[in-house]
Amino acid sequence: VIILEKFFSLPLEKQHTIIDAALSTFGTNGYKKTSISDIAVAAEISKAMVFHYFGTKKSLYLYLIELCGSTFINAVNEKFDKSVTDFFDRIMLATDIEISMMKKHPAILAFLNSAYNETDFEVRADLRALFTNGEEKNLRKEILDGMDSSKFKDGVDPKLVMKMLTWFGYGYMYMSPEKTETDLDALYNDFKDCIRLLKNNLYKTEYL
Amino acid sequence: LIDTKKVNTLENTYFTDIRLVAKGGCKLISGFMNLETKKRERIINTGLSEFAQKGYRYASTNQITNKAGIAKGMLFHYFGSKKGMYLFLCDYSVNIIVNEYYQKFDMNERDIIRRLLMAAQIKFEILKKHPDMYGFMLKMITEDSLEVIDEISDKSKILSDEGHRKINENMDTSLFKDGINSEVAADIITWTIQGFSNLLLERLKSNPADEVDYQKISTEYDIYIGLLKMAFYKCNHN
Repeated sequence: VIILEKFFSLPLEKQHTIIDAALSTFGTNGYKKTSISDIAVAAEISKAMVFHYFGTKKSLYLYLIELCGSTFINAVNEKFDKSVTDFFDRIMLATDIEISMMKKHPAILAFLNSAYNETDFEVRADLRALFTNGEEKNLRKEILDGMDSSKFKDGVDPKLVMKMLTWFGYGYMYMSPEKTETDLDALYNDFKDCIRLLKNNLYKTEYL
Repeated sequence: LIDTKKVNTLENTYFTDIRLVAKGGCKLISGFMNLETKKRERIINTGLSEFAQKGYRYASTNQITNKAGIAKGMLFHYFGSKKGMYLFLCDYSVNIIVNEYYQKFDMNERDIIRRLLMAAQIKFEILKKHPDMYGFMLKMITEDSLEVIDEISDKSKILSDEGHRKINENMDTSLFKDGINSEVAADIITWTIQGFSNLLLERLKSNPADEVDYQKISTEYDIYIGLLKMAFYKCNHN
């Protein structure tokens, strides 16, 4: 966990301006080509203040990744309906929440999308570790707790199905670099196809 | 450790590739290639194991020359620098592994899952046959030293792209259950395997290669394969 006391002591509104500026600058230009000056200009603060708040470009970048992850998890936690017990309905519910969040905050989408494809040596090892093990750990708990696993055919482990879906999502992100709102809808439809396919084949017939 | 006969038969292909890749380094490396085979292999194996154990940054050319029993000056005469030797070993290993992979990969097997299993088996065989080289490659894929990162990220990409292309080429979609969207199914299969390998890579990175439990990995892999087959394959192909 990255601790940024100086930054957190700022008024929230100012924090948001800086975050948005950093997300869109990194999102548009990628890690290497983004300079602290670019972010400072976009946030309308001095370069020295960016360094003061975040230390280095790398720590700012990794903080943003963490922030995006926790924003997703918080949104899902907040809006998740635990009375839904069907595994695939839960997945779709979480996906809907995530997608509407990305539509509401295009800067997050642009940033994450660029981060999935980031290869710069300074951050790529950290990124790979975060994307492989990170955010979905919490999400997995949310989805699996209190879920009705009896609908699955014998021998099917919902945890593995969940992992497969995450990998499918990442794979998709990786395959299509430039995302606009339309592409997000295409992703959503493909994901729904994937869900339908898995459900039809992994559930006992009486639950179809 | 390295099968001499195989290296010799591969030498021609490998040598041309080296010329393309290591621009400007041809003369130095051809000096090395003219050494007697035994000596050359001793140097190669010592280099592979030193870089595999310590990574690029901490590998010591002194250790390599000591263990291989050659004068320090000779190593620089052959390869120019530590970097020169490292990149040579990268090309050398990628070539041998890709060639062996191709030789063993049976394109008549059109079942995408069996192909993936075959690929895993071939990799496992290559690992057993050349443990030092495999350790070297694993280190190479996750190498983060600034001095060599750009050159080797191209080589890692060759490895993964080649593997991926082979897997999807001319696969048999009739094995899938009727009415299944075979593109989506193939995507799920591919990304599951890809995701599994990435997870593995992370694990290998945090564990030294010799502590990794390959049996456990292979069991885990089988579970995913079973799940994929149950989901998408006609019953008689399970």
